[in-house]
Amino acid sequence: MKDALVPGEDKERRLEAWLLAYGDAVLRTCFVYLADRALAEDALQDTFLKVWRHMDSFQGQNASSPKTWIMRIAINTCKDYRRSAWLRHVDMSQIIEEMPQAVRAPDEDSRALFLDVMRLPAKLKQVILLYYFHHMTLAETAQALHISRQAVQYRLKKAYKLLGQLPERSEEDEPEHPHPGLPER
Amino acid sequence: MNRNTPIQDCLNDNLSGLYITRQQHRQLMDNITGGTKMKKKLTTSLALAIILTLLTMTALAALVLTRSPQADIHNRARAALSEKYGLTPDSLGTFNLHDSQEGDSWTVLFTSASFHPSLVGEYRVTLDKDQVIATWSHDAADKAVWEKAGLDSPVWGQPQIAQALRSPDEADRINMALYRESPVPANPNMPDPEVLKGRGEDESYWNGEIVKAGTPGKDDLSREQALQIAHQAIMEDFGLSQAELDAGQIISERFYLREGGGSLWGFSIAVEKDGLLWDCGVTMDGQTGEILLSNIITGGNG
Repeated sequence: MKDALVPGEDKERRLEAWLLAYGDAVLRTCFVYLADRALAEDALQDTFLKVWRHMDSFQGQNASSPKTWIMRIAINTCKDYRRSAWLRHVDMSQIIEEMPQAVRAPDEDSRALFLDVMRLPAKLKQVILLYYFHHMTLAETAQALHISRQAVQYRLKKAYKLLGQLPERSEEDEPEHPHPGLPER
Repeated sequence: MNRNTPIQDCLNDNLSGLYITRQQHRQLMDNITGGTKMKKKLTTSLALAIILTLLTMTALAALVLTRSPQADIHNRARAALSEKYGLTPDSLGTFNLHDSQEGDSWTVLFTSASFHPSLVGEYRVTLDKDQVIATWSHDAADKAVWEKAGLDSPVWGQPQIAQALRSPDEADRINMALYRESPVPANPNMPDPEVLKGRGEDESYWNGEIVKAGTPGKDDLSREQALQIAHQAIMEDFGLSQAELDAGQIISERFYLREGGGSLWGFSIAVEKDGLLWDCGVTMDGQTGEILLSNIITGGNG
């Protein structure tokens, strides 16, 4: 939803539009990253507080979409939370049964795979979230994480291996950059 | 773009019930745009006022800290590893601590939080009234293999951990290759899921007990009192100076009510030292200020 940014809107309305457009996605990202719903809600608020405070500086940048920018802030906020020494003692693991009931009830395989995603190392989880859940391109994922496109591909490859998954190539993947180096089906 | 993979489907399906309600949306807008006082955030003027107050109070009276047996044991275990293996506080910050008690004897296990366990191994310290015994799972390795080696060593002791902290890209390359070959559980501190069932959104799991977010009452330490105690504990336990702490940033501060009565204050303060970020955590009894746990993290989690 790159068109969520409407020129001429006042700051508060713009924030509201972005919260509506990306709020759920940020909350879900933070939950997968932090594995704790209460922390994810704190991180959601902190993310949009930073968005609010730095909105003016974003408006001068054309390099990234609002979504990429907001997701980068969300990931960095989650990193700060994970670095928190307090979290070493407040256990971050949240069992799947505690999540709100899914609108689309997942089957056992889906739940097992989801738990595997939750257990991925943070760096791999980030690329899986941005690439698969937020449907970002490799370039956008790289931009959001401040890493190279090759690094995104490298991490995706590792994540597939840990998850026991082979990547599917859809016709909608970027044809000029078709996941070089990923295992063939 | 539609990447129709099991990964995408599992994320979409399992997270579909997690969303911001209309009420939460309104509350967030109010909080962010200033409708409600934000929690956790310090204004510059308030931070300066607190620092000045703390400096004045520190000048008037040095705090005498008390520590729980668990916190004391952790400090003694860290000291034992420093003495025997030369591990510095920043290197120790790459390990998780797990303790157990049997009678008068404690065992503290240090497992890796930042690097692959096959490299750094694990340290075990057994403490009782009379003796302290520290061991390392790589004790049998030839010292010559790793003592003067770089990150290509199959065993990482103090020299390699210190180097890895300062060369994170190189360390990451080596570790990710190992994780790919031999994954390990990401979070070894996972509690019994039964403990977490039915937990409220304002509840957290801390050190084996369920605690609930709250606000300090008349019998509790004020935030400023608790922060001063936290500073003192960090200085004593990890050798940081007041100036380094003053230049640091509070990452989180939490106040919790305990199930069996009483309360907790917890602070996490990020300090930059020698080019590394030290995340110093202190948890104390919310009423007495007794230090219950202190630790640092230097390796990050991702």
